[in-house]
Amino acid sequence: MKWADPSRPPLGMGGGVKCNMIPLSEDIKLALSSPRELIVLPGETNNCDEVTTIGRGERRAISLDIRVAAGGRGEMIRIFEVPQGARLTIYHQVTVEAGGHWRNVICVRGRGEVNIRRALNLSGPKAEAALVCLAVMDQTGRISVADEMFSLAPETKALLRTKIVLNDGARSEARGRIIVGETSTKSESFEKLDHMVFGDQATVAAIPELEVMTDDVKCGHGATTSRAGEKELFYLTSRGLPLAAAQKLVAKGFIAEALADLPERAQQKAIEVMFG
Amino acid sequence: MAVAREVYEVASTHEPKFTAPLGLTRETVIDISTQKGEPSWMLEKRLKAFELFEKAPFPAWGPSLAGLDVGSITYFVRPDTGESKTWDDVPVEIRDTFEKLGIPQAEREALGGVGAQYDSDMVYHNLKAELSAKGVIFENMDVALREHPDLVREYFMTQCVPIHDHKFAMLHAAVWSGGTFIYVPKGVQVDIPLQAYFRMNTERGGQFEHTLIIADEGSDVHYIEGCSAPKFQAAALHAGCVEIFVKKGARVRYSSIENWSKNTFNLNTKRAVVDENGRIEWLNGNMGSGTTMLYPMSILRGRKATSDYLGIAFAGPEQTQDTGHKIAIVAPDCSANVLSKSLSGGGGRSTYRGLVRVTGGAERAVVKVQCDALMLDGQSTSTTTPSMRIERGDATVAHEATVGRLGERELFYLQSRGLTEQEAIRTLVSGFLEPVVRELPLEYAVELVKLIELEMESVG
Repeated sequence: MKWADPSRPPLGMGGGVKCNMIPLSEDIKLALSSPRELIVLPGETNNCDEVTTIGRGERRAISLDIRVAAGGRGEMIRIFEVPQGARLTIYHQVTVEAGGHWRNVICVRGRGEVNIRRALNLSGPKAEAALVCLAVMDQTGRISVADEMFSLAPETKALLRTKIVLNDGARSEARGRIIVGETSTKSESFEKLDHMVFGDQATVAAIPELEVMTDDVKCGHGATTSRAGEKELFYLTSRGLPLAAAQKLVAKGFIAEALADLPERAQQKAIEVMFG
Repeated sequence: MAVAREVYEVASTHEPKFTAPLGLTRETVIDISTQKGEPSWMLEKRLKAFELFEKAPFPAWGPSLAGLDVGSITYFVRPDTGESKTWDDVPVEIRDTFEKLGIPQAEREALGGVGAQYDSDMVYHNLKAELSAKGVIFENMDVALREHPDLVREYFMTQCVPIHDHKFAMLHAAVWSGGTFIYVPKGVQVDIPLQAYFRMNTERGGQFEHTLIIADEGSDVHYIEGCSAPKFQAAALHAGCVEIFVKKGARVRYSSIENWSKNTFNLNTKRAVVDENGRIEWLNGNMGSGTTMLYPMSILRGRKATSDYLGIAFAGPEQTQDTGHKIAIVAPDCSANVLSKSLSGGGGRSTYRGLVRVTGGAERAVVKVQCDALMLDGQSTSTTTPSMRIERGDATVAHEATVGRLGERELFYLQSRGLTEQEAIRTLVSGFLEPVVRELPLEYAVELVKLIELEMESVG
């Protein structure tokens, strides 16, 4: 995996894919004016993980134009702390070519404002991709996630996974859209948006969408919103755990399930930031 | 019950008594109201709605309505007959149509009351005497406006579907004609279903029937609607409206099988307002029409109100079925369950478009939405667009959707047991639809299954 030569003209919009679900914010337009370009080369297996803390009052916009070349395997795990008053905007445009494999995991903890837009194009046969977003938002935190995936070739595999914990007063809007084109036979696409809520004041909007234009596919989506299990909390508190610790444990269990197949170092970092 | 396509698609030769000119003008709206001898408040309501309709834009979402020319529709067509209480008094050409559709037979065998609407007017209405004696009102909407003006004024397009709700509700309010009014008094259980059948027989016609159901406290009623239209060259429009009030502890089951012809735009509005401990049960089958936009809605506004929705949609060649269910919960301890099944084949497009809204006052709401789509070939499209907006932390909302094709293994198994491919497909489709079909009274279940088989024949 390498950053493209900045002097070279950019590939442009991840090979033609755009996230169309929501009008682009000013932050995204600004970031798009100077996108970084990333190429995952054939035959490579790469992953990267890093923790980024956004400063109080800071506005950070990250725009990436990613191409996973035929046969390339790439994984990007980004972990962010977004304190109150900070704003983080992420915009990814990704194209995965034949046999390529891409996984992007974004983990967020904070009380600030987070906007994530990811558009992904599975352009070649047997391309595979997973877009995962895991977040713990506290009181004043606001998160908006919109992932759009186009499956345009045969035998592709796509997964959209969003798991968000909202503590009292936090808000979330999560959208996922999978479009399976006529040529994408024998493909598998799944989408899951889950929210766990603590307290009465959280607001959740979940909009999973699926558009399927051929019949020889496996497709599904699901969305759940629920309060943290009272039985589980009762069990833990009856064993002597303070309520706050019990809540943290239940939330950790909810999120950790989606981290299970990440490299151990990335798992530890993510858990540390989200529940530390 | 034998069901053949010609039964639905062949027009009757009956000549109407009055046909309004094509297109909608203020004069047409006044003419409709005048011909019906309506009170001035209803005319004012119609004219207000007409003004709103003229200003409102077409929806910017959903399927294309490009083929719908609202200036080329006849908004008011009166059959040459009054309303009868016996089928013998109905003109023979109209009676024949309903005989072919099996309505009088169903009335004799299984129904508590029947209404039949032909174009803009009801031509038949009858209620079993024992229900009448209990105080049940089952009337043509126009008659109800004359005989129960206070009830109609209080509930007609006020709090459930207000006239400004959306463009086609505005149109409906301006030109509505006919439909059904049901009032079930406190504590009365209507054990056998009431039914109305709506038939549109005019080329470039529009049907705008209004159904208003008020189930008073502790009452129980099952109402069934059937709809069809013959096939013409020019497009037709159906923009009906159903308003249901389920009072404290009452239960209403509303079943509807809509089988409009393939060149009909079916832009219908259905909504129920449910009070404390009330229950609304929807059963919706959408088979015909070229383009359907239909999203029945439950507003749960009383504690422990519940809603149950079962829906089937079939999108065949050149059909777009954009259907779904909307739920708004504003009171504590309410629950809702949605099961939607869609089939698409022959290039048809089926969409589930739903909404779950849990507001800040809806403590401990529980909602489950499941939509399953079955695609019969590779040319068809299936889309699911559920939307969930939850403003409570203690709500439990779950959504699940699957899209798939007929299982090759299952088809192979059935064929190896001697079934032809078509029989095997029919068997699997029946199994897919079974959870919805079993909730219908037997004779309607049979009709629904036959209709789907007919549609599958067109898919090939």
